[in-house]
Formats: sequence, C-alpha cells, structure tokens
Amino acid sequence: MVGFWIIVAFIFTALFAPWIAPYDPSEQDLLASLEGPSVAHPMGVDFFGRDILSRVIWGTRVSLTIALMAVAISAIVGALLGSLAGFYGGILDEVIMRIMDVFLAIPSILLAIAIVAALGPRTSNLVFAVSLSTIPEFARIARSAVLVERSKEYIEAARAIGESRLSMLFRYALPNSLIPMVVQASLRMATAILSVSGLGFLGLGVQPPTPEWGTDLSLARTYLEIAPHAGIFPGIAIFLSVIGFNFLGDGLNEALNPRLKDR
Amino acid sequence: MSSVSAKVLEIKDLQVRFDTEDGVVKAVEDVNLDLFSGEMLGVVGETGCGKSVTLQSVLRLLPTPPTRITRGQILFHGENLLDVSEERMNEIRGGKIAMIFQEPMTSLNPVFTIGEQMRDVIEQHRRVGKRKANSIAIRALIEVGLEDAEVVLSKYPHELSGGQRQRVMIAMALSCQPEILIADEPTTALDVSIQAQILAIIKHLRQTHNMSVLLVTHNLGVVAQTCDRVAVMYAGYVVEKGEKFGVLKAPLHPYTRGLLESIPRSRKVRELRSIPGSVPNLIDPPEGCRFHPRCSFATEVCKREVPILEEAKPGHFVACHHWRRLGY
Amino acid sequence: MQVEDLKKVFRTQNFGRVSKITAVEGVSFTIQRGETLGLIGESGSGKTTVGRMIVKLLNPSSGHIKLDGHDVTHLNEKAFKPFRKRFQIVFQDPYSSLNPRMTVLQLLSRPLSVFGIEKDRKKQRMKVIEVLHDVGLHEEHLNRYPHEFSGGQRQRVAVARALMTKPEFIVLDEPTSALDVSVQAQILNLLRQLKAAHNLTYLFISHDLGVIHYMCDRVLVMYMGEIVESAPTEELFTSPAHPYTRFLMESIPDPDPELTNEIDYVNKVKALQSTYGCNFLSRCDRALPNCFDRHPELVKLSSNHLVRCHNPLKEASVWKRDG
Repeated sequence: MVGFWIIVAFIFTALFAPWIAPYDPSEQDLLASLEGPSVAHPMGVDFFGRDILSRVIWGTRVSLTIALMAVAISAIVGALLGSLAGFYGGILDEVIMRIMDVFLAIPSILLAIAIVAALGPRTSNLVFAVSLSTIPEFARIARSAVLVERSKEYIEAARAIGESRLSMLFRYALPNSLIPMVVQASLRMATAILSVSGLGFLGLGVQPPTPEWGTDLSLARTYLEIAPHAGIFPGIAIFLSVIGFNFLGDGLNEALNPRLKDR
Repeated sequence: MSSVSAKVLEIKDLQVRFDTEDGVVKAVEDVNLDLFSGEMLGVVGETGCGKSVTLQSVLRLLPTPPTRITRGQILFHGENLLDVSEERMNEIRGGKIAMIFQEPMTSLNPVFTIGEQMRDVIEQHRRVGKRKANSIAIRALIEVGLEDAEVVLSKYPHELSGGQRQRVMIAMALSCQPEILIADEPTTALDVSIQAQILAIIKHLRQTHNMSVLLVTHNLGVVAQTCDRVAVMYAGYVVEKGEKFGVLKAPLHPYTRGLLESIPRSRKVRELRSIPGSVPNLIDPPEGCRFHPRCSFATEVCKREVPILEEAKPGHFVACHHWRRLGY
Repeated sequence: MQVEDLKKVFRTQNFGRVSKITAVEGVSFTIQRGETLGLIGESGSGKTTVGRMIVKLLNPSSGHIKLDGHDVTHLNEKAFKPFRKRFQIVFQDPYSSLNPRMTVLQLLSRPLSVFGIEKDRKKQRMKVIEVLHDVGLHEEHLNRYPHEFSGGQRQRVAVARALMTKPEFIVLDEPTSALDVSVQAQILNLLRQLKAAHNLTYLFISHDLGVIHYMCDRVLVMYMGEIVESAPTEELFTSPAHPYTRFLMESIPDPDPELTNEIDYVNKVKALQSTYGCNFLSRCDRALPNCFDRHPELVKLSSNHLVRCHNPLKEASVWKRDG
C-alpha cells in the first residue's frame, strides 16, 4: 500500500506538472545560482539558476513516461515471445529462449549505452534501449507462467472441446499467467527508471535543457561539496520512485498470488 | 472394552476459530472426545467438519494467529495440553503423542536420508546415542514390514514409494514408543491395496505396543474395519459417537444414516440415497443444529437450538433433537 | 467404439538418461452403444492413459481406435474435430479442470462457439441455461467463477460442459474421486439420470469398486497396463477369476463392521515388472511354475468373461461373514 501511494503521488506530480511547478524548469535566474533551499526555492537552485523543485517535478514526467513506454513495449513483446515459447515448446522454445539468453548476458546498462551511443540520444532511442534489455525478463516470466498453466487440466479440457492451440494460449493460458507479469511490470518500472537516470547521468540520456533526474544529478556532481542540495533532491526523487515501484510490486505479489490458490 | 480402561486423552468443550479475510471461521464448535487406553477411535467426517483441526489442536500444530482456541481443554493424563509450555509440548510431540499425516512426501524432509531423520528423532526423544538410535530405527522399520531396513535407512524420501514412505512415518512414530498415535487420513493418498496393508500394520502395532490410536478419515469403511469406537463429525460438531457396531449398524443421527446410505457398496447394490444440499459455510453457519437445512426430520427447534450430545444407549451418544424418531 | 491392441510408451528424461515406461500394453475392448463400461485399476494401471487416448488427448504409440466404425488413430486435430463433438470427457479434479478465469456462462458457451453449433449470444445463453438445469444448477450461477462453487457444483459444471455438444459418448475419469461421499452420491445419481435422458454411453474409470458396481454394466480390470479380467458387473463381483480382482475386493474396507476381511499385512514384496512371466507374480498366492515362464494371454472362461491368468479362481464370493 505504501508503494501504491508513493506511485500515485508521482503520477499525480507527472500529470499536473505544469500546474504544480512553481517555476518554469528552464527559467534561469543566474544570480541565485547554487543557492540552498529557501522559502522561494524549497529545494534550492542549481548551477544555472533553475529551480530544482520545478525540475524535479517536471523530471517526473520524463522519467515516468520513458519508463512506462519502455516497460509496456517490453512487456508486450516479451509476453508474446515467452508465451509462444512456453506453449508451443520444441524448437521454437529453444530458438526464442537462446536469443533471450544473449540479451540477458549483456549487462543492461552496457546494452543501453551501446544503443544510444550508436543511434543518438533521442527519446525514442532511449525507450528502445531500455526496453530491449527488459524484454528477456518478461519473456522468462511469461514462459514459466505459461508452462505452469499448460500442464493444468483445464487446458486439457479445452483440447477436449476442440479449441485450437492458439486459442488455448490466448484464451486460457495467458490470462492466468498475467499476475506474475503484472508484478514484474511494477518491478521493471523501478529498473527502467534507474536505467533512464543512469543514462542521463552518463550524459547519454535525455539531453539538456530537459529536466531529468539523472542528468541533473550529473550536473550537480561537480558542485556537490558546495551545493549538495542540487544533487540530493533529484537523488531522493530517483530513490523514492524506485522504492515506490518495488513496494508496489511486492504488495501486488502478496495480494494477488495467494488469492488464486484454491481450497 | 473401554469402560474399565483409563482415559489417556480427553478433549473437552473444544472450540477453535480462524480469523480470515472473509470473516471468522467457526471451525470447531463444541467437541468432546475421549480416548481410552489401548483403543482405536475413528473420527469420521467430510470436508469442513473440523476433524483435522481438532487433531492438530491436540499437538498445538496450528499457528496461533490466525487460529484461536477460544475454549476447551485437552487433557493428557490430567495435564491440559493447551496450557503447558512449548518445551513440554516438544517433549510430548513425538515422544508421548505421535502423529502421522496424509502426505508422507511432505512430512519427510527431502534433503535428508531416512536414517538421518529417524535417528534425529529417536536421539532426541529417547535420549540415546547414535548407535543405539540406529538399532532402534532398524527394529522399527522391520516391524512395519520393511525388511531391508538397512537399505531403507540410506535412502532419500523420493526414492521410496508412497506406501513405503507411510510405513517409514509409522516406524518413526513408533520408534519413540508413544502412548498415543494420531493418524490424520494416513491412507487417503494411497492405493487401495497399500491402504489395506497400512491399516493392518497400525492395527497390529496397536496391540503389540499397547498404544491408543486416534484415526481421522472420511472413509467409513476404514473406520468400520479397524476402529473400536467411532465419532462422527459434521460442520464442527460431534454429532454421534459410540461403539462402532452401534453407530454404524444402527445410526441414530440423520447425518450418519445419510452418509451410510450414500456409500456405494461393492456388496449389495441398491439405490444410492444422497443427502441433499452441501456442507455449510463455516463463516456463516446455520443457526441451531448445523445439519438442519439438509435434514428431512428438521423442525422448528432444530433451527433454533443446538442439540447437545446425550447418551441414547449405554456408550452411544447422539446430538439430535429427534433421535428417538429414528429409533430402531 | 472399438479399441485394438492399444499401447502407450512414455519416454522420460532424467538427467540425460532416457527411460521408457510402458503405461498401456496391448489393450483391446469394445463398447456397445448405450452401455456403461467400467475400467477399474489402481495408480499405474494405465486406466487414465486409456481414457485419454480414446478421446485423443494422448496419442497411442501403437494400436487402433475406432469410433463408430471409423479408424481415428492417425487423424490430425482438424480431421478429428467432428468426433470431439460426439466423444467427450469429464475429468477427476473439479478444481483444476475449469478455467479459473472464465465464468460458468463463458465456460459453457465455448463448446458451442468452437464447434459452430450456435454463434448467436442470446441463443447460446439459452442453451447453456437448459443444460445447467439438466445438471441441477441454476441461472444465477451463470456469472460466477469456478472458485465460488463447491467441489460438487464444479463437477456439475464440468459435466454440463461435456453435455453442451450433445455427445453420444462420455469418458468419465474418476469423476467423483475428489468429492465427499455425500456429494459423490448426488453426482453418481445425476450421471445415471443423464445417461437415460440423453441416451449416452459411458466409459467409467475408477479405483472404487463400490462405485463401479453401482454404475457399470460391464467391467474391465486393469493391472500394470494390461486388462487382466473382463466380465459383466454381477459376475465379476460374485465370481472374480483373477487373483488381483479378488485382492482388490478384499482390500477395500466395507462400512459394515460385521463384514471383515483378513489381510496379511506382512506382504512386503514390491511389485516388479517381470520380463517373461505374469505381472502379478510377486503378489500372487496361486502362482504355478507356468506363471514364471509364460506371460498369460486373455482367455475365455465363458462367453463374456475373460481373464488373463494361468490359474484363475473358480469359487464364488470372496467375503467372509462373522457369524
């Protein structure tokens, strides 16, 4: 539940950013550069005189949107691949899973860096990069969930009433495999946000002046000794959002799984 | 047989509740059961009747949230097991009162050999060294019919068949020479032919070790063939209890009667009469006698008052307002 | 229906070692329209495998299955589909044979959609309600999910599902073994009723002799993948010929405490699969020298009583009565 509320807060922030943020995040007030938290700027000001609170708020939009798109894409693609592999088995299974293994073997951040470096730091590429490394996770989950369902009697019963294999997969096995997927989705959101921030930190993510927690952190690094607030707040934002999604994922797991265990 | 012997176990006014998301489950309501020395008592009932819960309460095996034992005493030689310390309970569990379960695969630890598990238990309860424990284990295994005892000791649970595992469980239970053996559906998961053997073993060992056995099952045939006395449970209550010949040949409770009539016999075939309806929800059970919605003899009083166990004939108790009408 | 010399071998892999298990070996029988054939055996007897093969949920390793004269053994899924309509199955476990995410209405409408029997939603609903009534359930149950029902009710839904396509034949694979005794009686009576009302033919698989006796006209006894005895029900129960059949009858505890059966618990021998002789050798007390060398074939004791034994029983009733 804690996770749920944290995330709700973030979503709210992201949606209503233009109205909540006290300043335009790109507005520079160079005279106030690197000032600490005050009444006018509750989170302080960064090197370029921009209000950090506003940047954090707008940054929520960026992080959440990219993460959401990446997770959504990888969930759909991963689920499809994984369930096909699990349900049909045989060579298809082998081929798909070996390809997945290849991607799993490469550390996700490296993969992301490689892709962004090769294709350029456009948002669409970011989404692509982050999702690519998440697809195998979903594929795995989907595959094992489908494998579990496949051996259950109601699938056999479906065969007995003449259902086609594709129909059995989509109508029967998949809906019952959704729960682990949903849990995983929440957890992957956390990772995705970390990836986005990580890329931003390395300068490969969202480009300035777009506010993004990672890029802001990177900027703040140089001045961390004299203006710690510039780094602390974006950092806290990353921390809270990741924890939020993790808690949500755990909570979902607890809430949804035992329910399905029959008497 | 039972009137002169001592009572080894007395379950008095037991009431057990479970707290769940959907409400409070009134699993066991007002159970009174006595186990006499050297006898075999069968507790029979269908799903949800509370027999397993009653059994597990004896050894305090139920986790206390969400379980609550709200009333009652379980007297073992006068000692109330519900009150004693956890230390004392550990002495009793396995040492004085042993229990075997339905699924021997899950009762045995898959990563240890049989020998390791048995020796562990024996050493603890009988306070002997490893070598003595080993020989006790071997003797116990032979007694349950596992002649190649040495070999069995070196095996892992998954290397044995279901019947063999159950024999191991019994051997383990016996090796500590308990006074009471509690068996929770020991043969339900086994094939019919193995079932017969296991029951015969329990019966035989009961005599040679002078143990009392509390056997819980849903199979009336098992009870009829192996037990001395029977207690029939329904929805948390004991509805009938007594000597098996009395209860099973001349049942006084409509439920017992209905149950016997709904069992297809391989001997005489006649129209199977089923009891209409189904077992009640224990979160919101019927008022009064919990069987009344399915009973063809139910009247107003049945809907309001819970019938208490009364002695209809010597040693034969029944909890029904109208048992006289069923009279034989 | 005719089954000829059915065989099923399973290959299992255990850390690279492939082992073969012959679950079913040379099983042949016929089922006449309108009868209820019982298939009795314990675990490992192969009875469930036979049941699955008949409705092609498993493919036989060899042998033939003829449904209504047509050899369906090698038909592919598409070609077999029209047969599925007519030959249905009800499974043992009411908890796992129903898709937990479909409502009763959806579960029961699927067969209608799949076989193109009825595509119109409204008409589907009407047909579903009709069948629901047949199995003793009501309209209010339509929008509920399986987990909201009791075991007996779920099994009724499973039976209803089998009935949706108006089949001629239903394989009942231990339909009541997972249910309480009182519910079992209800379901058995329901099945008998439905058989009469819809002119059905049943293959009833079970390990419970009492249930078999109540439901079946003829019985096949299976042991370790083979049929060891075949007879009309009454005859099987009054004069069982195979030692295993007698053994089964003696092992089942009767709820009547006056009828006892003595069992020698010191039966320690494991059941081994002997290469040459009879499979039942290790547990048989009537073994002759012949039993070690030659695997017995099915022999006719009378026109409709077959037994696979070199030394079958000839006496009647196996029960002892006390006093």
